[in-house]
Amino acid sequence: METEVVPLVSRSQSRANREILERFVLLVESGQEQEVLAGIEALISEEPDHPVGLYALALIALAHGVPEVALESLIRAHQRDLYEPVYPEVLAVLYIKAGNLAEGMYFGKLSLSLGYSDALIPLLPKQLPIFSLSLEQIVEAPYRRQAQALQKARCLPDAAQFYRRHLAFFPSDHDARRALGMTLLQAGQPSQALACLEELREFGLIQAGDLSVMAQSCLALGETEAAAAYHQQALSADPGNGDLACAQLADLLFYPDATSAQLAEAARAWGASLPDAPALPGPAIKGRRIRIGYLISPFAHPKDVDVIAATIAASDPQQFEIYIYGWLSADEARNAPLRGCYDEWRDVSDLDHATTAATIQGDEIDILVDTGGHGTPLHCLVLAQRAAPRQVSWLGNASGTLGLAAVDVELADGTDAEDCAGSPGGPDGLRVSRRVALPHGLYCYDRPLLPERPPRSAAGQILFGADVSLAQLHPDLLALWAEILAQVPGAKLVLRDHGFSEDGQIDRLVARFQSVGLSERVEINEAPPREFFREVDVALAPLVSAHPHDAVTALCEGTPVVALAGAGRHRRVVASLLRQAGLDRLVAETPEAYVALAQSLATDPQAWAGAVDAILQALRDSPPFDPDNFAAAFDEVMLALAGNEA
Amino acid sequence: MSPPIRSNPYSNVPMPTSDPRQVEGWALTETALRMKNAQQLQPANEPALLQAVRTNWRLWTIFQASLLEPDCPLPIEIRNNILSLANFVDRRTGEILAEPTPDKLDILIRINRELAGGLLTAPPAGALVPAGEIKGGPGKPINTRA
Repeated sequence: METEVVPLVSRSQSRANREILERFVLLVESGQEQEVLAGIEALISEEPDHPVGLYALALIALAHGVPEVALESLIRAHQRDLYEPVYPEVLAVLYIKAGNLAEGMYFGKLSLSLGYSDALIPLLPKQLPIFSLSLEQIVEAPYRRQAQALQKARCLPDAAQFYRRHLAFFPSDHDARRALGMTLLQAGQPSQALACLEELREFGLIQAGDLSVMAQSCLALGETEAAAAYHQQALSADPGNGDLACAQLADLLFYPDATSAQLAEAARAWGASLPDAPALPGPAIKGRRIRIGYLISPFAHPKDVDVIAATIAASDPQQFEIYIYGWLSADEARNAPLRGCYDEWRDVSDLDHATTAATIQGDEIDILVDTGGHGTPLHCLVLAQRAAPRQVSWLGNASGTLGLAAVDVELADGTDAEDCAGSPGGPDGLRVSRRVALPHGLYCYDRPLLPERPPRSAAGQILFGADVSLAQLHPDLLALWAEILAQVPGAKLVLRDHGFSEDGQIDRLVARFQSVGLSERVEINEAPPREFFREVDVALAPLVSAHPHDAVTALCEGTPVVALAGAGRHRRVVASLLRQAGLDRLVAETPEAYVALAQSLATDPQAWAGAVDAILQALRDSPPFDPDNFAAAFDEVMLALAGNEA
Repeated sequence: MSPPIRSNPYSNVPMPTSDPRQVEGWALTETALRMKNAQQLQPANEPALLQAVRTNWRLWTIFQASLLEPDCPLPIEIRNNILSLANFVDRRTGEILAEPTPDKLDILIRINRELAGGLLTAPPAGALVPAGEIKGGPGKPINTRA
């Protein structure tokens, strides 16, 4: 029910307030916002929640384009003065503009019953149409529609703002609240996402999907145990849901104790739970090019798109016809690197997995290449439906296996013997998919401009840098970093900002580093990745789910990267990339070596200079920066899969 | 690297909802009770009267809005009857707001109780509002704690 409020004013006081109201409206119209604010302050200092002061605040909020803030002030003004018709009249218009007919009608009737007439129009905000006009123009949930469009376009902070605006006018729209929670998580605001979804729990409306989002939010905050618990609850609530299972699999990569065998086993168990799709006949390519389809994830790291674009651009167009199954139109900025690389673009952003699979089958794709892995559940479900005769897992497969029998080939890092061997077979010893090695690794990059890196002097503060999230800051990593900083007195550790300034995250961050005595030696830098790595002396790769793109960004700025060659692809991917680039000197085989290497680069200018020289050489001519060579090897694999029938 | 943020994990699982007739019946009963309580306050409390009457008006406006929707499932005769009642509630509420005296609430209380009685006991002939919560306007739905 409405909040029980004792009105501030009587009927006579309400009539008297009309004069004050008229004065404030004139001030607001004249644009003298400072005077308005001073007047409001004077009013509320005598009487907090003075209705005219609240109305003036609402006018300012509307002038600044935040109707949800105006709504709150207006409701309070109306509750304080039940006799003034202007407040419900403006409320009526705001609700109608938000698409809420019932509330708009109610406040409209109320204002008329309180004596509203056209004579009071001058007291209404100029930005708003009159009630009758608003009613003519009413549309269904305009703020929610706008939020959905922004979310689809990945304009996430704006999407969150519009979801909040919609919820201000439709507080019982639980689906919109869920969408807000997901948007906040995608926008890198996990603690706000958690708070948003907790409100659903208050109403007893938590669903399995909510629990999954809460799990992902907890993981983003580095609360691995809570994340695991929420994932379990989600799967218990909806056991057959492939999306939930994929979300759990993707998050397993960040668990500090997850082994590659465990990841593989979890993936296989999930894959086995999916219905078998019949195999399609092999590619029958006669007299035409081999048709390759790439599934491009909407959540792809921007550099993944660069890698795919570099590979396709260097591929032989005489042999291959390229179809892209991407997110939104090809004209979107995020898809820019792919322009000119493809023969056909398909926007699958509005399609479910069955329709996407049917689209791919309709296009008669010979080989479907996935680049999203478990991070994009929709892709996994498309693959499970056997959308193409030959299906390949390439990028986004940090665990090394998707666990899907419908995936014929999982591309492996040819420079990593363990990765080529694949994860241990399941209980029956059988592997799910065939491993095919790319001889120069899984990634390639356009050859960059060589950075200019002046020699570092022995004096001056050493800066270690890391581009990590809370989810990667496990005790084992913190212990190594503490040891490094203990051996390099005066050095600082700089972290690139991953939304650490969001409520609560900085406290978590400080607590983590306090536990190893490092909180005084850690700084946050908001610079974008290239500038960030340019300013640090030595980059430290995390132990869990390090991304090779981050390491490449550092290398392209001439910054040495220290990486530990852990067990399993998900713990070794950066080390592998460094080896492919001929930078074995930056790879540590043990945690002790990781510490020693970082310490040496930091304290020995010659060692550092030697590393930089090696980096420059790698950027000139090593395989990761030779897209032609990479594409040639990639093309060979595709030709072999197609059975050379082109 | 941050954990990858996946696509929406929500499947199309339908939400369990209360019987809308029960919800409406409860809401009508509740607002009738509030009006009765406000009516009986001694000494007379005008703000409490206005609050109760306005809450009732909000509820009836929700009914009106849903009845006016093109896809309202109620038969046309029932819709027209209830809209007539709603119009009466509009007129009487306007009179009360202009001059709030306790005895004027009697008819509103009676209408609510009789309609609630019909909703809570009769076989389903369609709800006034489509399945889901009855929205109580800004802040809270009607059927949650205040």
